[in-house]
Amino acid sequence: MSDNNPDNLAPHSTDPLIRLTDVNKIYETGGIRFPALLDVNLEVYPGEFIGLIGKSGSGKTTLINMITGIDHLTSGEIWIDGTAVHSLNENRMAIWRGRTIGVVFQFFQLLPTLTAIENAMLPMDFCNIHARADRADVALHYLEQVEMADHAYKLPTELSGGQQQRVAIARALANDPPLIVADEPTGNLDSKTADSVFSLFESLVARGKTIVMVTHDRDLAKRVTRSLHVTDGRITSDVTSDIVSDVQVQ
Amino acid sequence: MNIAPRTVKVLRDLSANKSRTFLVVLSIAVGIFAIASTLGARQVLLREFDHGFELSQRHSISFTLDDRSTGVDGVVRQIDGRDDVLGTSARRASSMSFTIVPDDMSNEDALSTLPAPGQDREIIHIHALDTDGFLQPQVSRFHPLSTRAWPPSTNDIIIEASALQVYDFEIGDRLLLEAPFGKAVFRIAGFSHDINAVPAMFFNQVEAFVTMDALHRLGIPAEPNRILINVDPELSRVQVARIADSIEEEQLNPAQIIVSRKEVPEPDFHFFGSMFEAVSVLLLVMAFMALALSAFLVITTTNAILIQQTRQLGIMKAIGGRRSQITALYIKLVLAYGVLALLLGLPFGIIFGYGFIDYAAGVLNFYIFEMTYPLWVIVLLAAVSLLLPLCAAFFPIMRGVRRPIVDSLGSYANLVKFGGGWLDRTLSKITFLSRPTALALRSTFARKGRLALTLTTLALASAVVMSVFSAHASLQLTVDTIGSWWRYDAQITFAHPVDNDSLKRIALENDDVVYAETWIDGRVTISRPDGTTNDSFWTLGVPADTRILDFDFEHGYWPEPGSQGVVITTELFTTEEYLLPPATVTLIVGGQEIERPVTGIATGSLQGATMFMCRDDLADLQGIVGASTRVVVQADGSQFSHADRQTIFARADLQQSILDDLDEHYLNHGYVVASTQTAAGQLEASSEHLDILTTFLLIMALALAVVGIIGLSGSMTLTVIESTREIGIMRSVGASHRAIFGVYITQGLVVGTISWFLGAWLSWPMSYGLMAALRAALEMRLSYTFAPVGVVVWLVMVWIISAVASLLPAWRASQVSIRDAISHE
Repeated sequence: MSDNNPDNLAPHSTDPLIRLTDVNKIYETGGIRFPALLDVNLEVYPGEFIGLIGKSGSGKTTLINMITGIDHLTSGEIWIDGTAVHSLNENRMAIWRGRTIGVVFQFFQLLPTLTAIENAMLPMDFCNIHARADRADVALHYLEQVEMADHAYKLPTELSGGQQQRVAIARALANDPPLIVADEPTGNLDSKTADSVFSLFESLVARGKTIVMVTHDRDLAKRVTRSLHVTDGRITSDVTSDIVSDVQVQ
Repeated sequence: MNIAPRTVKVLRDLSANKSRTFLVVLSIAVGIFAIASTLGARQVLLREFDHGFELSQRHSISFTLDDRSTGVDGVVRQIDGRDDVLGTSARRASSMSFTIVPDDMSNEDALSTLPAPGQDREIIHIHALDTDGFLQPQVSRFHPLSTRAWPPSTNDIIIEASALQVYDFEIGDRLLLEAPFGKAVFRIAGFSHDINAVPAMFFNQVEAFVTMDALHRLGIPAEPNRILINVDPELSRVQVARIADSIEEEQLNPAQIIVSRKEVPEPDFHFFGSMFEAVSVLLLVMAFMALALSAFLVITTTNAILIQQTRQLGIMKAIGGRRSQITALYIKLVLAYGVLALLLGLPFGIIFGYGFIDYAAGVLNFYIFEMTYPLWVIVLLAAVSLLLPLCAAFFPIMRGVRRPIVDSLGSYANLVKFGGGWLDRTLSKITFLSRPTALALRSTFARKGRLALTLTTLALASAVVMSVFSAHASLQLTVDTIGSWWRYDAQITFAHPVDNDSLKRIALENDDVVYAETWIDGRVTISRPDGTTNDSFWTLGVPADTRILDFDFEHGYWPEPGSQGVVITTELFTTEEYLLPPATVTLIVGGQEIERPVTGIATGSLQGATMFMCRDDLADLQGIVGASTRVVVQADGSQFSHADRQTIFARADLQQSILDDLDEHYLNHGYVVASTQTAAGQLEASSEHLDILTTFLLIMALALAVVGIIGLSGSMTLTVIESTREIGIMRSVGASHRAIFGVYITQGLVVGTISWFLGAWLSWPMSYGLMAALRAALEMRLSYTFAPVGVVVWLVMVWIISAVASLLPAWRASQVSIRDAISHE
C-alpha cells in the first residue's frame, strides 16, 4: 500500500480541517542528519477521530508536533482551519494554538501549583477568551463534562492519574477549539481508566470535535474512525476504523 | 476574589518552594540590609554633621595669644568692627588637672586634702567666656544639652558631653580644679555639646566651660588668650588667610599683642572627617559588593527555577501562552522576591544603621538632631530591591522563555551534560578516589555555570575577608613603623616651661629611670613662597644628640649638633611638597619670620603634620632658653624598638609606675602636669584608633561572607533538588543515607576549598587596593603587608562554613526515598 494515496481517503463534502503538503522534518545533531518525517501529505476533515499508530521513534510525536506548531517543519506546508501554520511567527502561533487546538499530553502535564479549575482557566487567561468573571464558570462547565467538577479545587497531587488526565482534557477544551491533539493520552493510565478517557474522546467527536491522537493501545486504536500508521517518518497506511487489522496495530 | 490563574501560579510558586523563596529573598535582603545600614547611616551622619557644623558657626580664623597679653577685649572690639569680619569670640583657654571630689567630702576638706598622694589627676581644658559668650554666642558655638544654669555661676562648670565617653559625670558632681596659682571646687551645672571639641575618648581629656569671672578663683587673669573670628564663608582659604594676616598687622601688632599661634582651618574640615569619609566610603563599596554578589545568587536561583520549570514553560506555551505573557509571569515572581527582600532587609538595615549612627556619633562627637533616614534612600532601596532581581533574572528568564516548546517538553530537557569538555574528561580520569567521592567531585563540575557564579560569590567574599586581615596587619605595621623610631618608656608634658636641669634631676631621682631628655612643644606656621601661610602645626624641639628618637628617614638626615636644620614628617611634606631637602623653609614663630634648612623627611607619625628641630634652637625662638615643656625618660633595658609590641606591653606596668612616681614628684615640686603618657599607652591608643577602621571593615566583610554562605547553601539546595532522580538511582543500587549525605558534604567542601584558593590569590591585589584607598582617604602614609595568617584562618573558617552550608541540603538528599526520586520530575 502506498502512503498518502488519495484513493484511500474517504470522500468529504467539506474542506479539510488539517492539510499537510510535502511535510519534511529533518533533525541535525553533531553534523548527522536524521529525517523524522519524509514527504508527508495528509488531510483531516472535521469530526474525524484520527489514531496515529506506530513504533517508538517512527515519527508520530514529530507529526503531531508539526500539527500543533510545537515544532517547526523543515519544508512543506501545514494548513489548519484555513491558517498557514508554517508561516506563523511564535507570538501569533501561541495565540492561534490557544484558540484552535487543545493539547493533551501523556503525562497530563498539569501545572502542579494550580488547582484543577485554575489549570482549566489558564488557556482562557492566556488567550483572553470569556470575560474574566465568567472564566471560572466556563472552566467548571468543562470539568463537569469530564466528571471532575467535584474535584475542581484540588491540586494535581491530590488527584489520581485518570483524574489528572480528565482535568487535562477539560483544559484542552477550555477555549472550545475545533481540534484536539493528544499524545498517548492513555499511555500512563490503567486499562479501565484508559477506556473511560477514550470514551470521553468519543463523546467529544460525537459533539463535532476533531481529534488527532497518538496511541499504542491496539484495543483503543480499533475505536478511532481513521487510523494512520507511521513508519520511519512516513504514513504507511491510512484506513478507516472498520478495516484496521491486528497486523497494522503493532 | 477573582484572581487570574497566572497570578495564582506566581503566589503558589512562592509559597510552594519555601526554602528556595527564603534563599532568594535572603540573598537580596542581605544586599539591601548592607546598603540600608551603610548608605542610610552615612547620609544621616553627613546631614546631621553638616547641620551641627553649620549651627556651630565654626571660626574661620583663630589667634592664640601670649598668656601675658592685656587689653585684648578692646582689640577684639576693633576686630569686630572690621567690614570683613562677621563675628568674634574672645576666650581664655587654660589646661589644668582635676580631681573628682567624693560626695561626702566638704569643699573645704577637698581643698585642703585633695589630691591625695597617689590619687589620679586628670587633665581638663577650660574655656572661659564672658556671659554673652554663653547667651549670644557668635563664633564656634556650643549648645546646652542638660543644664541647671546657663550661663553658669562662678562656682559652676559646664562639661562638654563627649567627656561622658570616659567619665561617669553627673550634674551636681564636684570637681577640684588645680591651676598653677590656685585651686577651687566647681560643681557640674550641666553638659553642653561642642561639635568642634576633640572627643574625650581619643585623648582622655575633658573640655569644659566656665565664666570669665570664675577664673579668679583659680588665680588666672580674666583676660582672653584666644580670639576666634568668623568671616564670609564664601571666601577661599587663601582670602581668609590674607584677612588673618591683615588683622594681625592692623589690630594685634599695634596693640603689642603677641600671637603664639594663628590658624586658618580648612573650611568644613573636621579632624575626624577624613577617617569618617574613609570608613563610610569603604563600607559603601563593600555594601554595593554585597548587593552585587546577591545579584549573582539571584541569577543562580532564577536559572534553577527556570530549569525546574522548563516543562511547565513548554506546557504554558502549548496551551496558548505567549512569550510576553510567560515573561511577565516570571517577572512578577522575581518582583515578588524583591518586595519580600525589601520588607526583610530594610527594617533590619535601618535598625542596624541607627546603631551605627549612634556609635559613630558618639565616637566622633556628633549630636544627632533628627534620626530619620532620608526619603530618597528608602526610595532608592525600594528601586534597587525591585530592579536588582529583575536585572539579574532578565537573561535567565529570556533564555527560558525563548527555548523552543519541543525542547521544553522533551524528556531530556533537564538532563545535566557531563563529559564534553577537557575538565570533565580530566576529572573522569581521577580513579584513585572512592566512587562516592569521585561522584561528588564530578557532580560539582557538572553544572559549570552555577559553579562559576557560586565560586565567584564565595571567592570574592573570601578575598574581602582575607584583605581585611591584611588591612589590619598593615595598619598595625604602620603603628609599629612609626613606633620604631620612638624609644622611651614614659613622658610628661607640662603646662608651662620648666628649667631643663630641674626636669632631668627629678626624673633621674627615680631608681628605674636611667636616661632622660627634655623637649619643647611648640607650634609654628610656614610662610609659603607664594605669600600664603599654612595652619600652625606641632613642632618638637629635641636635643641634637637625642637617644630617644631614631628617625626612619625617607629623605635626608638629622641635622648635625649645633646646626639649625629641621626635619619634617611625610604628612607635612604631603601639603608642602616644595620642602624636599635641601630646601629652606620660612617659619613664623612668635610673630617673627626665620629661615631654616630642611635636612630630612621622616616617616609620618599618627599625630599628623609635625616638625622636629634642635631644642636649643626652638627654645631660643620661643624665648625660653634653658627650659622645656616635656620630659621623656628611658628605664633600664630600654634599648628596644617600639615596633616590638610584646616588649613594650611587657613593660607596661613598669612604665606606669615610673609615670605615677614622676607625676607625684613633679607635683610636689609645684610643676603643673598637662598630660602624661607611657609608651605602652601610646601604642595601645594608636592601635585602638586604627582598630575602629578594621572593626567596621570586618563587619562588612562578614556580611559578604554571609552572602557567600547563602550562595553556597542555595547552590547546594538546588543541586540536590535537581539531582533527586540521581539520588534515587544511587539509593536503588545500595547507597546508604550516610553515603548520600557524604557526597553532598564533600561537594560543599570542594566548592569552599576552590573558592578559598581563588580568594587567596585575589586577596593580594585586593588588600593592596584597600590599603591604597585607605591611604588616599586618610591622607596618611600607611605601610602594607600581606597577612598569611588571614589566609590560614579563612581556610579553616571556609571549611566550617562550607560544611554548615551543605548540612541541610545534604540531609535533605539523604532523606529522599527511592519512590519519590523515581517519580520526581
